[in-house]
Amino acid sequence: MPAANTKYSLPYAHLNLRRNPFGEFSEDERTSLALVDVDAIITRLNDPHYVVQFIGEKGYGKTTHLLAIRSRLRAAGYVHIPEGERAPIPSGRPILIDEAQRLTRWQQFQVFRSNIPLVLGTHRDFHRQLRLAGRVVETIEVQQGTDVERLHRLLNARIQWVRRNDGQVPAITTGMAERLRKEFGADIRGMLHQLYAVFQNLNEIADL
Amino acid sequence: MARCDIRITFDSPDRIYRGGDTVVGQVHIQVNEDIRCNGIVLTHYWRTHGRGNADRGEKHEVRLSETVPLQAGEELNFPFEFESEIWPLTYHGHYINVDHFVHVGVDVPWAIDPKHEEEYILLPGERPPEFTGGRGEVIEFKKKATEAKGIVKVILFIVVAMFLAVFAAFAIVLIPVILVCGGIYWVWKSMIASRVGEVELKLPHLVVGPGEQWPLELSFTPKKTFPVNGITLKIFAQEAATSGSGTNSTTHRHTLFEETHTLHPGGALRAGERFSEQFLIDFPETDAFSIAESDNKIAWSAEIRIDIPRFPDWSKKTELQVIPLGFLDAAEPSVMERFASVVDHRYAAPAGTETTAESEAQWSDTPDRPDTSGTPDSSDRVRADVGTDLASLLAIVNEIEQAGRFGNERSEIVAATAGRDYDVKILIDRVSTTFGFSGDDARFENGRTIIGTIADTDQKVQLFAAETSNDSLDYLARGGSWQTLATVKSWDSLYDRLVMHEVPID
Repeated sequence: MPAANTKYSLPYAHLNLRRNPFGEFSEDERTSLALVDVDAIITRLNDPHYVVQFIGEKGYGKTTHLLAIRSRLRAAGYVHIPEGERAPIPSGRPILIDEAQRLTRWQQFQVFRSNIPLVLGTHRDFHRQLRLAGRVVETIEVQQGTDVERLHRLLNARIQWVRRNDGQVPAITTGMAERLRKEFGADIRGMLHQLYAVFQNLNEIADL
Repeated sequence: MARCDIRITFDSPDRIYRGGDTVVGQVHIQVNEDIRCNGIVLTHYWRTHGRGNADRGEKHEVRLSETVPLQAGEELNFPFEFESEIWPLTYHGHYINVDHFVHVGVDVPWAIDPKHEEEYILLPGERPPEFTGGRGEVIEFKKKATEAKGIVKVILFIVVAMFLAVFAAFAIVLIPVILVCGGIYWVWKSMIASRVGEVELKLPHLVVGPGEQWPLELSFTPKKTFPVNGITLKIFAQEAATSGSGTNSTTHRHTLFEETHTLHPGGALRAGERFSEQFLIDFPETDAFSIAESDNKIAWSAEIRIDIPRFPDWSKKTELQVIPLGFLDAAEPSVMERFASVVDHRYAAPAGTETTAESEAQWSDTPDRPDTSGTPDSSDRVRADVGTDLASLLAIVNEIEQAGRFGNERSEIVAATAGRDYDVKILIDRVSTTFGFSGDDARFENGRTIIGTIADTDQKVQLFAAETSNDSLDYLARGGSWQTLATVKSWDSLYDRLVMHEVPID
């Protein structure tokens, strides 16, 4: 239990927050908070042969990129393929496929050879197969985009999102962002986990 | 772009309500440009937040207004009232929080709808219908949303059929593996049974209230003489919050409480000598009530272990359900009397108890409360002649104990004390909100109930305090003391304790 959080008080009111900013957020919230620059990609998605694949480890921000693109394109079709399952390819333009490494071979054949622009979130590099299918491929390794400045904005945006009232709230300093970048690299999920514990034990509003 | 400020205020300034209470408040809306809204809707629901994916309850909608023009600078107020939910209760833990929300959305055509939500705090009140008051069976809350629909049932059937088909195809390989595993398990069980024989564990209360006495009976007849390191009971509570899904899912676990009681010290158990003991365990105080939502769970368990050195241990783990005391009926007299009568085996101070630091922090009271343990009440009413009153009170207890359990004798002894006020000092075991007060004095209905012992004695007491004393009692924690004037009301044979009423300040 947070030190100053009791069952008789509103949650995290002692920090002027509504909840722990580094807890699990809903998909909609993650989309609203996504700090990714997708303008150039959205322009290129007008080309029916264009494919962008976001590659990276678990927790590095692939899904966040896909959600940010989806929120900007009303006609987009989106699917997240769960582990050990097959999922039908949605209609839409472009088509966004999260966990694309789980596509069946037949689905890969169909989707890669279609004339619909694609956005893939994947652990596996499909560059060769896509080139063979005549696609224009852009590969973005998501960890490259996790610089200290972006990280600093991203973490503080989460705190602002759960602000309770006007006035001061805790803040993440650039020094802390640097330390987290050094310790966790591009593993944003790891950072969030550590910061969750920090905020659980925070007794008063402070810059961290 | 038009700005729309929404504020939600409650009639209760601290926003504390009990289950089933009417939540009353107002929604205040102010805009900086004239706009026409197509309706204002208030929704109330519960939701979890924390380290796991959010679980949420059913949304209940209240339409506050139909189409209405909102004029710049003008504040419109919309009163609301609704009956609060009764379960789950507000909980603020480590990985899991449960909160109740009032959400207001303003429908503005061709624009993003302004919205705002505020929490209110829900404490135990009305008993949910799922809880029958019984203690023998863990109660499952059926979620409407997760009830298997037709298509889900078909998918389940296909999955099971596929599994059976795969099993049949690989039966030649799988059956020997299953037989080997089964054989190892059987040998393991047989080894344990060769020492302890058949162990009979009786846990009459699987549904438990915080702070109450929890009965347990263990019997077995050793087949051989063998040493034990001890027989222990571990009471364990854990939060488990799951975030993400599929390969991205992670379950975060946090131990809320872990306490090991030594039921029997180390030594030798002799062949043919029956071990049969009954215990009454002091269950811990907690507001971490059991919940079992999809991604957020608070689970309580009790594990009994016969620890045999250099040999497989006998152990059994049982899931418990912890719910507010007020949701439970009084324990069945037959059960409690049977356990209470075995005075020699009654579990008193947990000498062999190990409690985690985390749990101690959790159970000791909140840090923002002043520590008043050991601070006597400074009320003017308290007299100095505690010793005289104590002696006469203990004499009454003695008389009651000597009197027959059945018949009117005990009632008559209690009745004879009518009109007499006793100055008592109570060592606090726990203080809880009074639920279902059966007396006819309304001053006690919203007061507090103290469970403890009369200072300098072993005599247990249950004291109903009047609501006027709530302020001083809410800051008292276990180990503290409280002195007051009280009258004797009855004798509780279940717990062998005096039932007293505070003499309220008028």
